[in-house]
Amino acid sequence: MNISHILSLPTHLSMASKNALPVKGRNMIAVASGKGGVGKTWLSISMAHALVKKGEKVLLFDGDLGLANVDIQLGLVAQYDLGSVITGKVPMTQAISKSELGFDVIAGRSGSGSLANIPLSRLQLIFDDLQLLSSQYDHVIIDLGAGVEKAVRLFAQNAGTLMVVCTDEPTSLTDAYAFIKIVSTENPAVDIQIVVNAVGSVKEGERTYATLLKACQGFLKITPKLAGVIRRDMRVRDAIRAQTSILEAYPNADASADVQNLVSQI
Amino acid sequence: MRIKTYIAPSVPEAMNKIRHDFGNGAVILSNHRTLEGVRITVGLEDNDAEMQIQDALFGTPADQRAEKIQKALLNAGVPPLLVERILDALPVMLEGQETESLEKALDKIFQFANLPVNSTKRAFMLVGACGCGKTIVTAKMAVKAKVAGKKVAVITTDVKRAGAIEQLEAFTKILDLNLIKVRKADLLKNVVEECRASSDLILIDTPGVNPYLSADMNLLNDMLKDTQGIEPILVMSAGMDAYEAEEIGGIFRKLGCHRLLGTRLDLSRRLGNLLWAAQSNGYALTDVGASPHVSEGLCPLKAKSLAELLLLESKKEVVL
Repeated sequence: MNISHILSLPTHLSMASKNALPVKGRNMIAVASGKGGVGKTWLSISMAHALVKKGEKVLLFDGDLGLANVDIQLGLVAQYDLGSVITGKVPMTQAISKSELGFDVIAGRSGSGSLANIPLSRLQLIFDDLQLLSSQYDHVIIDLGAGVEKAVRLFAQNAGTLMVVCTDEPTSLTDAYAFIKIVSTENPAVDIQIVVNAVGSVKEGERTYATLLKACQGFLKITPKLAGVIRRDMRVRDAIRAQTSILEAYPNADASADVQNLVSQI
Repeated sequence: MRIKTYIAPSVPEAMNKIRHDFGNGAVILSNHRTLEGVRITVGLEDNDAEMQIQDALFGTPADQRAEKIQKALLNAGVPPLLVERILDALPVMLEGQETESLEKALDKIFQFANLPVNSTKRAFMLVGACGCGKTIVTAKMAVKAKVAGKKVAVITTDVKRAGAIEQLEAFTKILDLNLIKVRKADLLKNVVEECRASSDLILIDTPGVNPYLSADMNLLNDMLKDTQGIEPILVMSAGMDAYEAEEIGGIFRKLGCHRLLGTRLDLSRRLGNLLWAAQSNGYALTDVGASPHVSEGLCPLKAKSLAELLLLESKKEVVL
C-alpha cells in the first residue's frame, strides 16, 4: 500500500514536484536527515549565508515545528514567528525577520507542542503560503526536523530539492536511508540529494555516499546525487556557540569552503 | 534496512560471517582494505517484515477480507444495519478464513434451533403468508419422520383453497398416511389430542394467510386457542423485501411463533429477509428448505451452513 493514501496527503501538493514545468516552489530546498544532531540547522544557515554571499535572495524557513532553533543559532530575536502566522495574528509575509547575515528568516517556535502536532490541513495552508512567498526569492531553504513525521514528509516531498544530511555513523546512514525510502516511496519524483557532513576527508565522505547510494540503488532502485561533502571542523562548533554562521566567523575554514562548494552547484 | 560492518583478515572470512548473520539476502554496501584486512559493510532490507507491519497497523488485507464478507452480505440483501452488526462481531481473520469467521459472527448474533429429530409427541403447526411453502414443508417433515421410523400424523386445516388437500394428499398417500382434514378451527384441539395417542409427530398444515388482514390472523389464533403443546412455526420464503419480512415476522411472533423456517433457499440468493426478520423479532433460525423435491427434505441450518450459503459465489449451486 502506498503510504500517502494512509496519510491522504493532498494530491495537488504531492503532484507539485512531479510537474516538469517550472512551477512555484521549485526553488525550495528542504534539508532533512531522519536522525537528529547531524547538522541540519547548521547546514541550512550556512547554505543560506553562502547563497547570500553569491548575491542571491534567500529565505530560511524553520520547518522544525516542535523544536525550532534557527533563530537561536542565529541569535535572532524574531518579533513574529510561525506561531503568529498560525494564530492569524500576522500573514506569513509579516512573520519574516531579517537576519544580520543578509537573508530573511521565518522563525519557528521552540517547544510548541501544538505546532508539533499541527493538523495536516493547516500544514498545507502554511506550505501553500510558503510556496507563494517563494516566488519572491531566489531560494527558500526549509530546515526540517528530525524524524519522519507527516509535517517533515509533506515539506520534504514537495520541495524542489530535498537534501538529506548524513554523517558516516551507521545510525545516521540507516536513518538517512529510511528517510529517503519513505519519501521516495510516497513521491518517486522528489529530487533527492545527499550531503555527507562531519567527515574526516572528502574521500571519506564520498565513501559514505557510495555506501548509502548502494543501498538506495539496491533496495529502492533510485540514484540520489551527492550534493556535497562537509569536512569535520572544530570551528563549526565555535561558530554555533557564537550564534553566527561559520562563513561569517571563519570564512577560511574547511567547512566554509565545503559549504560554498556545495551551494555553487545549486 | 539493517546495516553491519565486518572487519576480517580476508574477504572469504568476512563473507562467511556475513552469510552466517544475514543469509544470502544482504547487499554489500561498501568494501575496502584496511590495515587489519578488509572492512565490509552490508545492508539487509526486510520488505516482508515491513509489509507485515503495514498490515498490522493499517490492516489492508484483513479489511479486504471483511470487505468480501460485507459485499456478500449486502449482495444477499442483508440490511446495512445488520451487516454492520455482523462485521462488528467478526473475529480477527486470517487468510482464507472468511467462512469460519462469518460462522462465528453469525453464531454470536443468531439463535439456531433446529427441529428436534427424536423427541416425541410434538405437534408443529406450519404457518405463514400465502405461497411461502407450508404444504411442501409439511410434506418434507412427514417424509423425514417416516423415514426415521416415526409414526406421523398429518393434519390439514387448509380446506378451502382449491387443490390444497389434493396437493398434500399426493404426498401422504405415497407415505401411506391418512391425511386428516379439520374444517373448523375449534375442532383442531380435539383432533390433535386424539392423534397424540398414536403418533410420535403431529404436523399441521394451515391455509396461507394475509398477515395484514386481522380476519386471517384471527383464524390462526382461533386454531391455537386453548391448545397445549402445539408449536406454530413461521415459514417464510427467501427473497422477499427485508423490511416486509420484519413486519410479517412481528405479526407471527404475536401468534406465538419463535422458530423461523426459511424456504426456497435454492431459488433465491437473497437471504437477507430471513436474517433480518429473525434478528429484529428475536426468532431462532431453524431448518431450511433448499429443494423443490419433497424427498430431499429439510436441512438443519447452522451458523456454518448459513455462512457458506452467504459466501456462495453466485454461479455455484446450493449444497446444504
